[in-house]
Amino acid sequence: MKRRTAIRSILTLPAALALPVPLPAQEAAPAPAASNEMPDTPTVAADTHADTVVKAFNADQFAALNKLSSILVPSLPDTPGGLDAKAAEFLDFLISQSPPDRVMLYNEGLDRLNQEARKRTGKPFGEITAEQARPILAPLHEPWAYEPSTDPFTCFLRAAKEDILKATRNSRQYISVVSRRNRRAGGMGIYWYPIND
Amino acid sequence: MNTDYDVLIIGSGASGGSAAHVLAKKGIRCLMLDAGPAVDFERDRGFKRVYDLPYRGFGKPGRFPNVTQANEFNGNVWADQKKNPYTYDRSDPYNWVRVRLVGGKTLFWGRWSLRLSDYEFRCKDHDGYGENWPIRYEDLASYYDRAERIFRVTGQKAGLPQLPDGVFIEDNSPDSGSIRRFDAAAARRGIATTKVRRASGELASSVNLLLPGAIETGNLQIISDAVVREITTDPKTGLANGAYFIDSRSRHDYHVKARVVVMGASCLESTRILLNSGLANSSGVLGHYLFDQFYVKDVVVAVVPQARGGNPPRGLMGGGGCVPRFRNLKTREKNFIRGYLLDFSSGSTPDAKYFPAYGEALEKQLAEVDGAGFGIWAIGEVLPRYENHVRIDKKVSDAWGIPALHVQAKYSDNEFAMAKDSMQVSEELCRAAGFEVLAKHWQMVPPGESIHELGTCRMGDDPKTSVLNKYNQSHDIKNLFVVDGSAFVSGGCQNPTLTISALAMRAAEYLAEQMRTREI
Repeated sequence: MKRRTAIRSILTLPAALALPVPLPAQEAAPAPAASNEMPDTPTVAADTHADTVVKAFNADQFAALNKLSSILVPSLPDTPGGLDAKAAEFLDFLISQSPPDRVMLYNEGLDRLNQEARKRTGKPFGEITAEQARPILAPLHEPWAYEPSTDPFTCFLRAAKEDILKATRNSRQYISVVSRRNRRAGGMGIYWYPIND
Repeated sequence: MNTDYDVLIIGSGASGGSAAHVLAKKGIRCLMLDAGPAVDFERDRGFKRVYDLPYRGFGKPGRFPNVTQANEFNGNVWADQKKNPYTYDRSDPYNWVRVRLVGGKTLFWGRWSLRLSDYEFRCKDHDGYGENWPIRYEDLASYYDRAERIFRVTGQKAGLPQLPDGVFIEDNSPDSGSIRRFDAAAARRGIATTKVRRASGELASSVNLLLPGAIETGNLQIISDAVVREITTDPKTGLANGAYFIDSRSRHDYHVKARVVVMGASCLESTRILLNSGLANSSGVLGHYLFDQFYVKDVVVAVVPQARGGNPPRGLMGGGGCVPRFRNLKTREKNFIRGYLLDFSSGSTPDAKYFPAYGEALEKQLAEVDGAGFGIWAIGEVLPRYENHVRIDKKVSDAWGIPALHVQAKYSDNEFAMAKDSMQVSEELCRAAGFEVLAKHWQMVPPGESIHELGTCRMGDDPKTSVLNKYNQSHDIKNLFVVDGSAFVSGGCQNPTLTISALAMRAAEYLAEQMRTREI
């Protein structure tokens, strides 16, 4: 209702207000007349022009998630990846608002990534290469099964794979590139506003 | 102010809308209450990019723990679980999926419109389990005809006794090559397939197909945001005489009077209102025999090999169909009674989770099967059992102080065996069609998730074992009718909306005649 009222009020502005007032001839070329039309003020998105404040994870965990997003969904020559889409930043926000079991899954999973990486390379996961990460990510090469794995680390990796893919493919960065070559990838949907609020 | 109406109708979806459609046209003055607001598509909807949503399409975590259908685009159409709580035992989760809007779930339903047959109406005669309905297929056939015309059901006649043909807008569209291959593989095994039978049109809801005709007569008034607390009765006669309701926005309490009460608030809401009212339960079975239909989503996910490479040959992919129930018709299965149907479709891209890969390798595999997927869902009959039931949980109330429901439902061995069979058959058919099976499983969704909840206020000839008679009329209170899915005795595996609409129209015809002859 508010949106409709606002639009109607704009459309029904008196003509005298909506049109520039003509100036007398002898006063030509004074300071530019202020327009009474509502200008289209350009704005930019926060996630493309500012850094997200990390809330859910500590620095090591976040670095591991960032690396994981770059490995699971790498940037390809014609397709943005997890890093471009700031998937880790988004997931930090998402997990910070998630139920405790989801928070625990991620916290423990990211810690395990770092432990495994240190054990194998002496470095945290955030500093290893994709090739070095390969044995750590071996559970992702196991065939799909409907039943959740009994291993929490495997559960974490499967959840992270799904989440990073979705966070990437639903990102402004990904859609703006991919939708240029594939109209189906526009990311557009019918959104329902709160009804009768 | 004269607030006396001939009929009070509670609920505006498929059942309430169908009843109003019949009654108002017969000159009967109706007042309809719906717990939700009226929807204005122009005001309430708009296009958005997924990245402009706060959660990038993930949705607010934890907002809908029991509504898997909810996403960030449609999150505001589902009933808020905090305002509308219900309880269940942690070991037996139940997904009660509700829409509280004028028009109800018909605003969003999947539109499959299938008739029940005497395999359902006479189910006990067939296999000895449970109860027969108090009606036969022939009692409802003409009402199915009417409902199909209203909902503009498309389909193709198939001549199958287990899925009777209807009044279809003929679907003569050619099947894709992959669908023809699947159909042929099924036919070689003696399993029939049909085209999907589905309500057509841009919108196929009570709001655009049922209510307008009733409103036009001047005999239907609708009050939105009216949460019914209790049906009231005349202490002298014991007959229903109206209802108390609460305006969900102002929280003002109201009472409305009527000569007859027709309940179509949805399966479990109607039963909840009756339980909270302490009415219509001399049988003791009100709330019992809760059932629905189970889904096994993506029971098999396959790939059509000739469509690999991201550029399938023209005409190979696309479309879908239905395998109607084929089990326990002329033969008997060892492990289960009744049956299931399969809903199959061609042309999707299998989900990334099915591929044991990541990174560039995963991208390549996904590109290879882009549009080459063939998927099947199984929809199976859940047996009505006394122990699956709802009752009032006196410890929990909704946002308006109305006691909530406790739901107790679990699957039996029959459903587990059927689900497993559906996987085996789906895999066999896909392989016989020459498809590569990528993934298979037989895990049913939790009870309730199909949004086909049925029973709890069942029909029957015997007042000791049923709540309603064969016209959806309470055995106990002759001017009280319940016309939604709660009246079902069994459900088969056919989506129930068409049957709900047909039953409601039949009950309304009967009611109108009873009112005309002053029997009511």
